[in-house]
Amino acid sequence: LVPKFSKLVRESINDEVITVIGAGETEYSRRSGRSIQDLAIDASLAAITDAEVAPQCVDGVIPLGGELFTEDLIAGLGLSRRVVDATPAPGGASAVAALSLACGMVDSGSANCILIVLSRNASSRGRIGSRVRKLPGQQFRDQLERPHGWSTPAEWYSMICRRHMAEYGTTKRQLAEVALSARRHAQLNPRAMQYGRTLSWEQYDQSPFIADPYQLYDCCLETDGAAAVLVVSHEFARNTGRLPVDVLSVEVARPESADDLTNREDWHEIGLSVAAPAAFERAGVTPTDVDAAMIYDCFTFEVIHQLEEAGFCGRGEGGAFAESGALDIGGRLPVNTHGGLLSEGHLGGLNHVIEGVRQLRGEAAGRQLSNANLIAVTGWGDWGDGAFAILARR
Amino acid sequence: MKQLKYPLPDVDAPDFVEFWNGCASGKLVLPVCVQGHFVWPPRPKCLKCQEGIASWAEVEQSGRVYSWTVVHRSSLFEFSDSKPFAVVIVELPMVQIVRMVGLWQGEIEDLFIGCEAHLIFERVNDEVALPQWRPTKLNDRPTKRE
Repeated sequence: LVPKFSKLVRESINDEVITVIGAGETEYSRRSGRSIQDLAIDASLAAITDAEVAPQCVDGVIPLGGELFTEDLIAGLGLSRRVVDATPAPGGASAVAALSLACGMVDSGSANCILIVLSRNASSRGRIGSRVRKLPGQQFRDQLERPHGWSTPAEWYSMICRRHMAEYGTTKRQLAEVALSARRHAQLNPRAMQYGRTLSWEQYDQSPFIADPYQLYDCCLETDGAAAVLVVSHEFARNTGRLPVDVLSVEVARPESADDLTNREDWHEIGLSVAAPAAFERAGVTPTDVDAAMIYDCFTFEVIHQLEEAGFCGRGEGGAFAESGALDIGGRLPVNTHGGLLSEGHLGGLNHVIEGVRQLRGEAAGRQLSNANLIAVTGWGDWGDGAFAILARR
Repeated sequence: MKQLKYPLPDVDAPDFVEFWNGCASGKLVLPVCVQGHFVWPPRPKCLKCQEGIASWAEVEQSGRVYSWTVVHRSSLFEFSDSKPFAVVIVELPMVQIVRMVGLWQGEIEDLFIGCEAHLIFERVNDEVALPQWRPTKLNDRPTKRE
């Protein structure tokens, strides 16, 4: 009876639709010169102000980034000492997974107005080499991987990429198109770290190798900064003046052998392969209904990989899909219209949620999509943790 | 240039002791659960059936390269002075999927997916021998590299 019972619990939870009513961020830079607490307070105030509510309305907090705590926000924003809080698993799926936690808070009645904020100085301090030591499965890293020199996400995921290239004929030209499209979008986004810096195929092709087949421009940026969104219950949203953006559905799933990517029966299957179909079903929409996608672009191939596993194209077709120009504004499925982690900045993918909100509100200025009613956002963490949210303009 | 320093594993780590003992004596020894599944990487319970480890089995020291990368900038100080080096994932020839990560002790130019490889044990100290991979001599090079 127990497994059946837990299945029922899972299916009855999160019936409540939650709504994003505020989004904000600090400058994204290579060296902020400020504490992560200071950055978090600024981004939070920007989101709260954007929502046209008072900080005292916040009754739930989800701090992200690994070093930020609810205490920092109570102190800095004067929040109630009775706020409830939760933290998703670390890794790149956490920003979208935070939406799932917020759904749970609203659904259980424990909070109505939840602040999700990510803050870190990931460029000037605490870069990726140290952050990955806080991820699950360290016994495998220590025993079986680091002794062989295998130690970073670029090195891990390049293995997945190489295999995809061999099995499906995915090419470096196709990987490059992901980077070039993101960079073109960043030229329309003054906030992007790569604003004003164009990228050509030649520059991409001649850039130094990091972990073959990944070169410099296959890899995302490292960023100092903070980003925040304010998420509320449907009922709360009714009483605010802001244009609401509903989270129609959000699902989180892990891959088989979630702490080790080498021993999967199906090499290409990831958490998103499970989470995305579940989210589409819950929302009652299909991939073809989606107007744009904000894909967690830690590396170029991971965009192609996730487009396939989320169902936006068939397995093995992602490379050709990218090369066709589909990812550009005006293309078949505009992807990362802000420039993404590759060219806007690495805010753990919370910047992807924010871009989805801005596009749906019609606030994306020079990069505004002409048709934005439904936007998908993905998270990719560790060795393929997946999170998938579908956002909608009401 | 031969790699001289390595980040060392903890050969006393509970789920790995038999594996490292095997390596130290030149054997590849993997955990097998009550139902006969290889449990790789080693876990206290089998990923497939959640049964405990019943035995450790010695297996063939060869396989085929499943995927590979060339590391140009390592985050590990032991590798910081190394020239670009390759890391491979080798699939062992078993019914069940067992893939091992290892440093490639061969020419990078000789690497391709499907390439036959066999294990060598790099003796680091009295307790630690690291299982690394090199190409099998009789390799048929494909006409076109993957």
